[in-house]
Amino acid sequence: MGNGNLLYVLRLGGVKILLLLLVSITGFTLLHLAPGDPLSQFTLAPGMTAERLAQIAHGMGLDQPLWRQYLHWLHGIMTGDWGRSFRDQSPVLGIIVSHLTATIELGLAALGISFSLGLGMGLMGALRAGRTVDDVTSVISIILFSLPTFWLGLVFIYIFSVRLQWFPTGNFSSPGDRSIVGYLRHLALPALTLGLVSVPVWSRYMRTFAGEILKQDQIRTARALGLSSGRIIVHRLLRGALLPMIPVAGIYLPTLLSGALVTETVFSWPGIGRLFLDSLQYRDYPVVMGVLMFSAILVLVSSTLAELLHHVADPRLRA
Amino acid sequence: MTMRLPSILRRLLAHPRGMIPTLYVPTIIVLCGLGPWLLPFGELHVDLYHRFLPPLGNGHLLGTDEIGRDVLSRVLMGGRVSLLVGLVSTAISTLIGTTVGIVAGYHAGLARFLITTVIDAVLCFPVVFLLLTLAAVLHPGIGTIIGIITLVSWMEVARVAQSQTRIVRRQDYVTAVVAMGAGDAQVLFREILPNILPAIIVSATLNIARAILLESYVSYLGYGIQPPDASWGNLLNNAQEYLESDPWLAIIPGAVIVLTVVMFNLLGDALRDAIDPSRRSS
Repeated sequence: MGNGNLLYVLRLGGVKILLLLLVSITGFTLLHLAPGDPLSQFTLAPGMTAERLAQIAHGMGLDQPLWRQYLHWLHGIMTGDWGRSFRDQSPVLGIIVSHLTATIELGLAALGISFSLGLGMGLMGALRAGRTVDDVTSVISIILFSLPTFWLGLVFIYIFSVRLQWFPTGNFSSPGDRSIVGYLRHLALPALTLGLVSVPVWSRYMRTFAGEILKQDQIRTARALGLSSGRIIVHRLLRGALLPMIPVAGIYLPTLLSGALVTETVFSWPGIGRLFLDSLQYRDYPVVMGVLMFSAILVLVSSTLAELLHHVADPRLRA
Repeated sequence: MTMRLPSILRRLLAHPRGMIPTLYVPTIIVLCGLGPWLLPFGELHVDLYHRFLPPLGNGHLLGTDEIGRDVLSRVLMGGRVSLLVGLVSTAISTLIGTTVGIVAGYHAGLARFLITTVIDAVLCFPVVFLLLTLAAVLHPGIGTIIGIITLVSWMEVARVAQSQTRIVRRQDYVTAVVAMGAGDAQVLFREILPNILPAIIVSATLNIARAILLESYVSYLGYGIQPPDASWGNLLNNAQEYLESDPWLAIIPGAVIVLTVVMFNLLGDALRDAIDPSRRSS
């Protein structure tokens, strides 16, 4: 056992690290070939001379060849120095971390909504396979899958904020209101938006996995013997279907991050998605690169963990 | 998995879940294609005396926008761009994906390892971040959008082509043809390609839906198709500002996107069932 597993982990990890390097090289090259120079913010400053500009460029390392800039940057990434924002000179990693909480809170709330709804819909579809309920849940999941996140957000704002005035149109909190209720009211619409669009990720897999288990003999036998009430079937289904769902979590995170990017923009939610877009607009390359790398690391680490967990949890995979 | 067009079409039309999208998709393509010639208002015709007309106002079926342009004309013109982006980028990415997938599926070894690794990697990446970075860096325009959407969407087809090729390659009759001394080209074009084509077509149909959605994201965020040109995404670009007073400016283009994307997704699912009736997918 031990040797094979070690090899498996090494290969898994090695490939992911190579990928991360690939992503970083691509992103770095791209952003530096982009129009719009980070120096342009200084050129119009009063009393600016070519010499002073060259000094600033030197200070920022912009006069070095690209590959040296990359290596320097990569070294920084690994030692925790992710560079400084062109906008206000504060450290990139700090900026990302300070925006992370908002995204995590939004993400967890959305995860709760999408996981419970997705599980429920998938189970219902599998238990009533081929009947109306199955058709309805699968059409619902296709519709949710086809919704542009930003549009769903706009519709929710229109219905629940403009018309019904139940929830605020956006932002983290209202000025002067620091209560938990106020916070939850701000969280509700973005979480619902992001949660609903990611329901199909769970529901489709749940439908498939639960459907496969239902075809297996143990449940058919149990049913035939009259042993299983509805609750026992659901219990068995959940136990059997949740195992193969573990790697789905690896698929879910990128969906969640991409969705958060748009949701945060629509609802002015101060997370890393909105940070990314703002930085892109200001050509704040270090921050753009930072968020790109951060999300890549997050996704690769979590998908690796999911794969490992699945490997450990499912003995059939351990050859 | 033989593919006979009449029988597939018959199965598609037998079920409302197949019939509706099979009818919708050509209709929307024709409408957007012909739209500008059917309507009395040019999509760029500005009419400041009739701004923010609600739907059905003054002969404008879907109303007018913030500078008095006819919303229906804008939606149809936007549809041209969005559908064009969806169809062309899917055509290119399907070609690339199929080629890459077949190569990876046909020959075991380093090529397969590298290709599948790259595919898995890109598939698990938050694509919208990459897409936006590319769109922001490159010169905006239809060509750019098509290019970057192609770049991020060939992997799904490649994955399908790869696994299907591996399955077909192991079939007895293919082994027999190889044993009889057939060359690679003959095996690929006469045996493998026709057999994996159905799966590729299904995957491509779903890909169109995804490409239309991606375009709408990029254009909505302002990095895609630039005004005054319309696309379904950029029609929503400043709709949020007018959400309170003129919600239809946001609701209508979005509803058209949803409807079209749903239809392409339904069509893909229905095609899968029609081609291979043994598996009724969910």
